[in-house]
Amino acid sequence: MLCKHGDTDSCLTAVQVTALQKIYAGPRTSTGQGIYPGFPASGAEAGTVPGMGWDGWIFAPAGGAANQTKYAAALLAHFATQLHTDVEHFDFDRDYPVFKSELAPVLDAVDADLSRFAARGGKLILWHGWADPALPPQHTIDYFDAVRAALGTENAARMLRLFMVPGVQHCFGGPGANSFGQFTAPPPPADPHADLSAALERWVEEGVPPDELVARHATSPLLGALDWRQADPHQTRLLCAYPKNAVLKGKGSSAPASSYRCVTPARPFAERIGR
Amino acid sequence: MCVQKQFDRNKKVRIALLASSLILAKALCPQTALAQAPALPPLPDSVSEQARAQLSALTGAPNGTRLTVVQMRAFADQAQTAMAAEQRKKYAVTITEEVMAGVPVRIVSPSERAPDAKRVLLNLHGGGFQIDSGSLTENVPIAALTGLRVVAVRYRLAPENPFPVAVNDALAVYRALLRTYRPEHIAVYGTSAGAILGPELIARIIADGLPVPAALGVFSGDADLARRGDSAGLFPFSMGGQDLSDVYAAYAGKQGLTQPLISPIYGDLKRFPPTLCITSGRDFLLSATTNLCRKLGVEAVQAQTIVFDALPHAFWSYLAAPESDEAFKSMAKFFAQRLQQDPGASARCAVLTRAMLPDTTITSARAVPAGPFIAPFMLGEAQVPASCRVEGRISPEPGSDIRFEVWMPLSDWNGRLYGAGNGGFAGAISYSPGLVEAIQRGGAGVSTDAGHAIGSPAAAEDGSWAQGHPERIKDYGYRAVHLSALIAKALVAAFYGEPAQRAYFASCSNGGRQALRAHRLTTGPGWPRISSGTRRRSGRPERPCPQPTSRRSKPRCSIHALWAMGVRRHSSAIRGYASSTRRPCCANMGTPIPV
Repeated sequence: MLCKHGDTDSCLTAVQVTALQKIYAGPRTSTGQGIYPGFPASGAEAGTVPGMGWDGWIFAPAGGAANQTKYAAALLAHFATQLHTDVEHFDFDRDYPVFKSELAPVLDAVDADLSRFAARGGKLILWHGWADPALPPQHTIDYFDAVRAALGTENAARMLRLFMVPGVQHCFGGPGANSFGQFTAPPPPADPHADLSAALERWVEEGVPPDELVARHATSPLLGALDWRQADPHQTRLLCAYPKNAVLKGKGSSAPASSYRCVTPARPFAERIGR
Repeated sequence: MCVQKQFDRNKKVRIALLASSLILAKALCPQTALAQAPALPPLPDSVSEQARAQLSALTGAPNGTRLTVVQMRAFADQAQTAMAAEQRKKYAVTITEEVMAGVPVRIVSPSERAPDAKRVLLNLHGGGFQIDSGSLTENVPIAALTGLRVVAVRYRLAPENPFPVAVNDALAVYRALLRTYRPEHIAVYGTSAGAILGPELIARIIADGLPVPAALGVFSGDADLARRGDSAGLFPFSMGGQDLSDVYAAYAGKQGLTQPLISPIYGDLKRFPPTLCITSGRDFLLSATTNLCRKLGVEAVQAQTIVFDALPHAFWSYLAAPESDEAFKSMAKFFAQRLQQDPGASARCAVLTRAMLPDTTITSARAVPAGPFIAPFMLGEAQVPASCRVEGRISPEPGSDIRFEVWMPLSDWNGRLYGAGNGGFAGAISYSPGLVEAIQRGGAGVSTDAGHAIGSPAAAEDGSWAQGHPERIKDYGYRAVHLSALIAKALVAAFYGEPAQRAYFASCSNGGRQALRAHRLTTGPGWPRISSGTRRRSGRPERPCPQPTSRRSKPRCSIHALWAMGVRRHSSAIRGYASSTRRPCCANMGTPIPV
């Protein structure tokens, strides 16, 4: 994609390629050690609503700052008391350890030992949109893996599920199947096959874990996330509990959820996209 | 009412009930017309022993004597008074005789609590239009169960006063009530003839262009006086020697039975209010009652039908049996829902302002009727059911100010508590997604502003509230969600009298972080162990007031105590708690909720 005959809309300059590589790689120390995952190519970077994709979160709009920058600036300016720097001058070797030691104890939620929660019968469903430009999807996968390591895979399977959702942005929206009860279930009757919230209740109360879910696409992203019944019942995709992937049973490219089945991949998706 | 009764053809089973109405029943129920009725099987086992005993107490040949109207009225008064005296041992009410708009009314009021000042019920009693067989017995349980005043219209009777005199009297009382009550706070109901007059009154209200009441109860009724349903053939009716056609003819006078003001089923039912139909398997108006609610359903009116197996016509007004209690409860629940009123809910909600919870001030607790809700940050207006909404602030250390709200549906609580977190830097209570959806699903909901307030969505990335306020960063980081969950559980237990069976938390972005931060606190050592996140633990705390083991035992103690309070409000647990306040860990907690 590197421009060979000057800068056009169909290619990237060397500077743009470097920037993209940094976004994919995530923040790193000067020795290349990763601090936090980057944002993967999703095919849905532009999103469906202006400002909700990379355009609002990662790239600064004209005359403003990207959301990522705004949050980072606020944390540096108002939360951290032991650092006196800003986003522009933040040094990952020097400043990051100070920043982390002060704020991680108060803010971080990375403790993977869910054994007490599990012992009380607690169930946890995580989900993340592959096209999320605000929080990197890989971080949720890392947490999922950490819980499995802490509890053991079998124990974790009794209380933890992760759904990675293609084409969905931060919390809602995106060109994918963006409507699956991720915020809340609508009033009854509940449908645990279409609705993550109802699926959690069924798991807790009836002991049936959610391994598959039929998600719909909603044109109005927020409305779709509030009530999946408002979404298009003819645009569906099968969501599979990680690490399984939805695989087309036959051939085709825009088939409904019923054309897919959940398959454990030889290599996890994250690996295949180069992470 | 039950001035008619039915028996099986073998005359083994006979009518109704209470000792003194036995006379009435016998007198009013001749055996004529029974010849063509088919044989009935014995009562099924599902019928309660009490109902069975009372129904079989009236064996032996009934007295087929023709009675004058005067004799029937005298018998009915005697029987009803005796029955009501029995009912009043169980249902505490006061009864007054008044005149409203020139019409005599009997007002039945709950006596164990102040009657709901905003809502009222209008009753039209049964008795074949010719006698008053239910202005007491149909209403005593209802007034006590609903906490509402029941105005029973003592309309002028047939045959002296044929149609439309009784409806006119009912309408005059309804108009009078409209001067004090809003139509959405009035429900109309009746049994037997009263459940014929009820639909007629609604048809008349609509015809006259008056506002329609909130609900209609048709309890063994009829809206089609021109035709007889199947059940009228199976279970023949007789009252003092008159059959059903005689009674309808005496009531209608010279009016045609198919005109919609007499038989509303022939008119436009679209504007009828939500209706509850109750009937029973051996009710001669089984067909008529179910036909009306079926037709209402076709016209898109909310209509529900309850059929009690095997029991006779209008049994609740003369059988002292569990089935009657159940029928009255169903009626009361329907009125409470339609009038957006839960017995005592306002008071039970308001008393939560006096809840003593650690580091917590309850600033408001009020019952809010069903209706639209809108708040900043919401997509649009949402319709929410009636709920008890508690607002408060938690301040675990100086400078900390966590605002929270707990919403609890007034009726049909599903036993769950739903927590909703906050995205970004938080700063506003999550109404939707959050509290709105929680109560729409029938659950209780809790949300906080995470300890600071922002003015607009545009300020979502503004972190200046954190500047120089480490306590606010802690609240945002983990305390707000955790503490509000504990407070919500205590409030839910106090309000419903039992703890939430399940607690859920769903949220995205920073809300996901909140969830994964809070679970350790809720399940970890050193914090109150309260059923959360998951499966129900035992219904009540093992130790209402634990010995102090650490500086944290204060909140544990008080929250458990309040919880115990909710579980067994009027029990010795409260006295136990009160005495336990002498123990150090509870000493400064006082009595959480005066009850």
